[in-house]
Amino acid sequence: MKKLIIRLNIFVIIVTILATPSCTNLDEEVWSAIVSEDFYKTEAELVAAMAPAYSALKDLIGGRGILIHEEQTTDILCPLTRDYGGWYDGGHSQRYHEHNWTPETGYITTWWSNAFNWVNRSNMLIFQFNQIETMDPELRATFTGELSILRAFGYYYLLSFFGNVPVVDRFDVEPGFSPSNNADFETGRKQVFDFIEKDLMDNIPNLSAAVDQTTYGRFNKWAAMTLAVKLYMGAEVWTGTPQWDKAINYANQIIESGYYQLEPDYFANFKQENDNSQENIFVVPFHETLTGGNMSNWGYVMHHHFASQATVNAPRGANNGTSAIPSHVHSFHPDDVRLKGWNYGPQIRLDNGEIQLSNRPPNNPLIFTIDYVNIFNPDDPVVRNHTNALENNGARPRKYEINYQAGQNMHNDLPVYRLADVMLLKAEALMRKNGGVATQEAVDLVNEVRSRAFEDPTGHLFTSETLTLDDILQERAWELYYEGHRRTDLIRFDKFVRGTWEFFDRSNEGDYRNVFPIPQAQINANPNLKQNPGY
Amino acid sequence: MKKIRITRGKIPSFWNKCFRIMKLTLLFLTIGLLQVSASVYSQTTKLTLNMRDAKVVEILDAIENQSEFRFAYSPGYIDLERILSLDVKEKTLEQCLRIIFNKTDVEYAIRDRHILLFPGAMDQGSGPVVAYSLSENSQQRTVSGTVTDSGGQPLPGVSIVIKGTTQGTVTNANGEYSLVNLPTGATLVFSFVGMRTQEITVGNQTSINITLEEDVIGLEEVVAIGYGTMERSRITSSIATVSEDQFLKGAITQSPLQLLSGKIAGLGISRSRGGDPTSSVQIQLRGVSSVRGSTSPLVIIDGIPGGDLNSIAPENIKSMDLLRDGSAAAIYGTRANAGVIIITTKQGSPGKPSVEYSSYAFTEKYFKKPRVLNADEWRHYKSEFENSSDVFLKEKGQAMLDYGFDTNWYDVISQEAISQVHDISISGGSESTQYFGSINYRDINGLVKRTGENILTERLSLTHHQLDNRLIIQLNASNALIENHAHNDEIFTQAITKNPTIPVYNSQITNPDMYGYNPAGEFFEEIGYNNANPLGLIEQFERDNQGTRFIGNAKVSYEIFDGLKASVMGAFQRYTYIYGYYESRDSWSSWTATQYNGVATRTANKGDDRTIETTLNYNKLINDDHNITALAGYSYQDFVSESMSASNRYFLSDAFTYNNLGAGLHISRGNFSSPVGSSKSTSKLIAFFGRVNYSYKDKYMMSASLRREGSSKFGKDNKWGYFPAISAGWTVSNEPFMDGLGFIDNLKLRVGYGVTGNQGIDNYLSLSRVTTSGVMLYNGEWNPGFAPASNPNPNLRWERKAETDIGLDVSMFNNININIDFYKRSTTDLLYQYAVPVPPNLYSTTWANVGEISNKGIELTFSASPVSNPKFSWYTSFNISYNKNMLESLSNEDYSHSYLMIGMPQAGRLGQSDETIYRIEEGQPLGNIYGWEHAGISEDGKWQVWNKDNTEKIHPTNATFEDRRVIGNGLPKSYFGFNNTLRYGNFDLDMTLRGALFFDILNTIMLHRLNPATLPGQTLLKTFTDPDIFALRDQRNYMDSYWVQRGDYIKLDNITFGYYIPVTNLNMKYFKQIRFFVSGSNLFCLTKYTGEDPELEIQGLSPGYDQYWNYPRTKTYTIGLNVKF
Repeated sequence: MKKLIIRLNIFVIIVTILATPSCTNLDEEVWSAIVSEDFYKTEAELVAAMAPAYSALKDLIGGRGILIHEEQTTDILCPLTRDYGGWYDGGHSQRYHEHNWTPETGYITTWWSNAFNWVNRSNMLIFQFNQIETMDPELRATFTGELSILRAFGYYYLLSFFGNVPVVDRFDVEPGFSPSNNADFETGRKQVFDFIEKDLMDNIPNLSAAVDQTTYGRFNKWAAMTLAVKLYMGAEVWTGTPQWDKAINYANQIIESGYYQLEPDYFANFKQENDNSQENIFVVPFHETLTGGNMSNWGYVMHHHFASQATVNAPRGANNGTSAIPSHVHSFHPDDVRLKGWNYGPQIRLDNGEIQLSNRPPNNPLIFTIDYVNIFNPDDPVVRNHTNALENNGARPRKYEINYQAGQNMHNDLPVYRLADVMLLKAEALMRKNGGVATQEAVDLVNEVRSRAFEDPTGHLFTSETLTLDDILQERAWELYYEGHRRTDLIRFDKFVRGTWEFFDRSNEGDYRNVFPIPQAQINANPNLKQNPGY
Repeated sequence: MKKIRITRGKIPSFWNKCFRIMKLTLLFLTIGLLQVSASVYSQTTKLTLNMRDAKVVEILDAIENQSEFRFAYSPGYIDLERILSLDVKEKTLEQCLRIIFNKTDVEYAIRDRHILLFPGAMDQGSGPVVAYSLSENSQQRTVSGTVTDSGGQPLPGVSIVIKGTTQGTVTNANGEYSLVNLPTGATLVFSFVGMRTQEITVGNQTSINITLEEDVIGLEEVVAIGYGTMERSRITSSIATVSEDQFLKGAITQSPLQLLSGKIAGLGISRSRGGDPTSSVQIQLRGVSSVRGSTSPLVIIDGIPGGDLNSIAPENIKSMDLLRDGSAAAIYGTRANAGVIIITTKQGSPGKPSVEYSSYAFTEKYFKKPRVLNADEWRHYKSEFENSSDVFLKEKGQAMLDYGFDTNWYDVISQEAISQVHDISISGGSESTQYFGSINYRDINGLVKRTGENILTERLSLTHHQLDNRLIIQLNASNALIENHAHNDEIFTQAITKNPTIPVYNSQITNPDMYGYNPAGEFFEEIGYNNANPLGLIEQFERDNQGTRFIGNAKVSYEIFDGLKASVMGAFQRYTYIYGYYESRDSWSSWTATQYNGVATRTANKGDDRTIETTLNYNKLINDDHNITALAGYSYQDFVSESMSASNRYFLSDAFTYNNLGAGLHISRGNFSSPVGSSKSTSKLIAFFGRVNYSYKDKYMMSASLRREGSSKFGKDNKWGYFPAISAGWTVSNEPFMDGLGFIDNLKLRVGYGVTGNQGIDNYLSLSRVTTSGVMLYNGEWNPGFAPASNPNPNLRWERKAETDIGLDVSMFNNININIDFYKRSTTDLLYQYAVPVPPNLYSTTWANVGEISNKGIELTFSASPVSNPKFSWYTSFNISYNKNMLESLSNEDYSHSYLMIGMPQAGRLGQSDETIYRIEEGQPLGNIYGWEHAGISEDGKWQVWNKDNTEKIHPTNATFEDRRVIGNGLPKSYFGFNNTLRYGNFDLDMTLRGALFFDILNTIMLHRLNPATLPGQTLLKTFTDPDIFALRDQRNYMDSYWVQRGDYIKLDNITFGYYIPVTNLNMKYFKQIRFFVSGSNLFCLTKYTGEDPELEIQGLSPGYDQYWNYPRTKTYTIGLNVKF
């Protein structure tokens, strides 16, 4: 027995020691992702690394994208709520429309993240590509050049929306690095301007001038120059010093390059297959299944009616939300083809040509009204407004061809820059340089854009006597509505905080609302950030 | 042995000597089970003792250690200090006792495993001991009687003392005693080790027969302490134990944690998801110690750390020990920040097989149904509004459509469901091998249609002793087969807003042209943004989950030499789930929202968790005064989780549901937007730990432990952490100076300090990883993209909590127990997904260690048995805690926040909210509700809030950011529980009241559902009747204090009434016990809160947030049966 016990003791001790693995290795094994050090080897991987930077541009038309900020805050788009069953988001969009935003408003927070996402991804990839010794130098130059423009593109929106933001052009920073903006708003804003300008000037010469598959959906020389035009157009607002000549210079280079011309059909730029548009300079490519994204949301779902699918090529009813501000639609000349981008009047079924009925009792014919009134009961004493409208009130955008039966998303590429925009900007710059007085060159540019909008332009064209700067602002509203330029335009004309339109009177609003507040979440996260004046 | 003379000298302190040998509580708890085998045991058990110059008491101790025998005696009457030597081998108990008490007067009686020792002089039967005359002048009498145990057996050796004197006697072998010359009004104190002391005041009677009850609330409860057990008297930290007989009675509907409901001071338990049968309960110990979303305690099941509660049945749990403070929990280091719950399951004991069957059935009812309009009321308000001269009302009246039907949507979605639970177990075994096996079946059906769960759990435990009990092998395996049907909370969002005149089914419609509806569908779908038929949401969606959860372990322990034990435990846990989702072609979402024509998804998940732990235990008693226990161990755990999923759309028929994914057309049409996916993730925990316990004369106790643990989740240089603990106790009542305070049975002071950790974050967060992201058009081709998965944080490290606990345990009058604990805990290096500046970071949040939270509090537990006799007994206990919480800091060297903003936790029907509703701020407690201060309704009927300085009432549209303030706090500061158990004859009544105090609730049901501006999308009666609410008519609801209400509540958690059929009287020879019971849970609640139920979220960063999409709150009615064979 004793022997047995001793043997057992030895056995137990050995087993205990063996069962106590000397294993103290706690390295993590990664299965469903790749550790960064093992990536960025082949060209395919480098392209794959580049892809998220460009695909992030989908945020331009995302749920909190450019239409919310640039148009729903202005006299073009209204977040309309209707009686029962209508779209409603708790009043957030309406408060935004009414310029009642605060540093906590989510739209603002998201936009900061969106724009800095482009900046950060650019910084990161530039840094990483420069680290990869095996990378083909030519590919590196192409990619880092484009990325610098993407960074400038992000900073352009940050400049316009927030003004004085921290300038960061590096990725390899110490943990906890919290960049600061300038203590003085105007100085800081000018620094941002200068940074964008430098990025553009440094990189435009190195970018591809090709306008074909190799640069489609990416920043080529012309897209970067358009950004330069837009930057210099705002120079007076952002730096106090106008730079009209520089804007004109880059606009000229684009126009004279010969790569771009106005599409004879205005709507060709927004069609489902708009990738062969001669006019679009820079687009964000969409594919109904590969990219996903929100083209169908802003192209259709946000605004059309629950019963609209039979009247357009859509698989489903829409949410009956956003509509046009009535005065904007009324301002068009009835012969202006661009007015067709607004959908109002009887809604005709595609299958039988009959008027679609509302699918809600009492099943009135679906007739979209420009004004927010009760056409079914004109005696209705209720004064309709944007928070209390009827199901059929408001014209709906249909500028982008609505066709997505199969794929649940739209195929239309999002035009960010197009030639008509550049031409109107050049015309404006020429006039501003000329003390606000029209020059013939300016008149010709405006008339060229305008001619396309009328079957017979006679009587619709300007002369150097009639064309004013305000006409150009108005022309831009007609030409570029629903493309996300309006707020910046109004600010350049100093009309954003002095606007008056239906349901909105902010003629006494403080100038400080020309920029948005820096998101409170960012200030909380970064004590080195100084809030914009007035907020 | 000398006959002890009763003199004026002091009686040897009863408790002083017997602490170390009192293990009787355990004995008596299990005595029933042991009866059959007892005689066998005493004859078969062989003892080997080799002791030189040992005291009798040491020898008794040794026998207890070697066997399951326990001695009982009155210490004053047995000479325990006598020295002798003993060398026996393989002798029976009887033989040993004969040697030990040879030539003494001590007699013994072996009763089960209970050995009664008593002075032999009284064995002659008739010789009562005469008490000394106290006073010659007073009236004096003679009293005699018999002392028996609860089984009617006479108890020899029980000491009987005249209170206030040292005079007394002891019962003879027949349990008889007699006292002469007793003064009138004298009080007799009957005491015996392991029995509850009784006092009787002598009146006119001459015969007093006494039955002594087992002392179930005794001090010698054995407590699980992590990698071992220990007598309660030696515990130096804060550990609360709830054993089976104290568990919450009635139906256990969601989680075994409900068993602890209202039982432990400092432990908040909340059925935050109402009656949802697939949900669990929320549990919070000693305040919020982490800002990380969920803070659940670490569960240890039969020694397996991180045990999965879903893999065992509540009926299989024998006891739960909660390690409350840091000094107790630190031995589990890494995951112990939120406390540790040690679960001990039922095991077999030697004897004939014992079979137990228990079963109950229950049904659930609405606790408080929201008061919505019925169809008649709807029509009434519609016509009243339409005929109003008020244009607003007129418009709303017109918009309130009348579809002509009468539907009560709450009736439509709910069902009369019966749930049932059955448990059958068999246990028993031989002296060497014991078994316990059970099958448990739970079929739980929720109040809402198609919500429910059924679980079949099989469990088997084996314990085997070999080599003179030196080798113990334990095996446990439990497997749960789970099926449940989940639901979509949108059901409740829709039910509370649905127009009551809408029909449920399309078949009810006679004029299809009149209404927009889906003609193909079964359910009437109203047209509009986010409108769905609640019953359609239930019937047209499959959400089927089938899973198995296995937990098993094997433990081998071997006593290498006396006192030194080595153990190896291997454990394995696995869950596998397969989930099937199908959305019908004509469902609301497939039809109106997406036109997907049916969506099917299958998901499979598997998780494995492997554990190996080795421990060495050493126990040594030196010179009878120094008791040393030491532990050293190693622990290795790894975790693997894997999943895969696939989905498809566009089905031609609903017939397949999710069973033929290939039949959908979405993938074959060339759509690649992630219809398939798979993932795998692994992590590891490795630890070395040790502990030393030392006690001196059972007066001074000390414990120190250290765990060094590493987790793979942290940064390369931060994987390892140290978790030390130290605690000490002083049993003041064992000091001589306490002898005068005889009513105090035990008084112990405890002080402890311990450090624990938190590693509850996702894997890989410290690493820089790239994963699929986006596509890019590159030279005309779409190219897939890869992007960083997160902001990596290579400096990620432990969240650490340091806690100091001061406690006091008092037992008095043999039936009152009081425990008081004060604690202060401070959590530093808080793990949280912090908002980081963008730029320079790619993403706006990073997992990092920032900040500090402190909690201070007091816990009080009181329990007593005011009445305790075989006919009638009453046990009562009350516990209450108060916790003060403070966010000390939200900054570290890298990041700095003065506050965090929490928006509406979930986007609702009113859209996403960007507004802050909670604010977490440095120097403030967590749970602060943030908004404007309501300032009443203005004379012209407008909603008003106070401005910043409270000088002006302004309309919310004019109010600013700065006008907001803290308008409430959603975190209860105090929890309490009040438990009572009454037994009268064969009847018993058990009642648990519990509640939470000092907190507020943000009533978002009111905030979102009472807005007349969104009429006719509202159906709550209050919208139509409350004049305040009508002030919002042309506005929106604003986040102000109007919606914040006091949440304090007290509720009847459970009341159970039971009856034991007197099986012995009825001669039902096959039954040991039959008990019936009826029970009700959550029957009433006293509160000022106007919502459904104030029992809400207590975890996370937005506690006290009453979500408007909650599953209905329920009360439960149960009937049950328990049979023992």
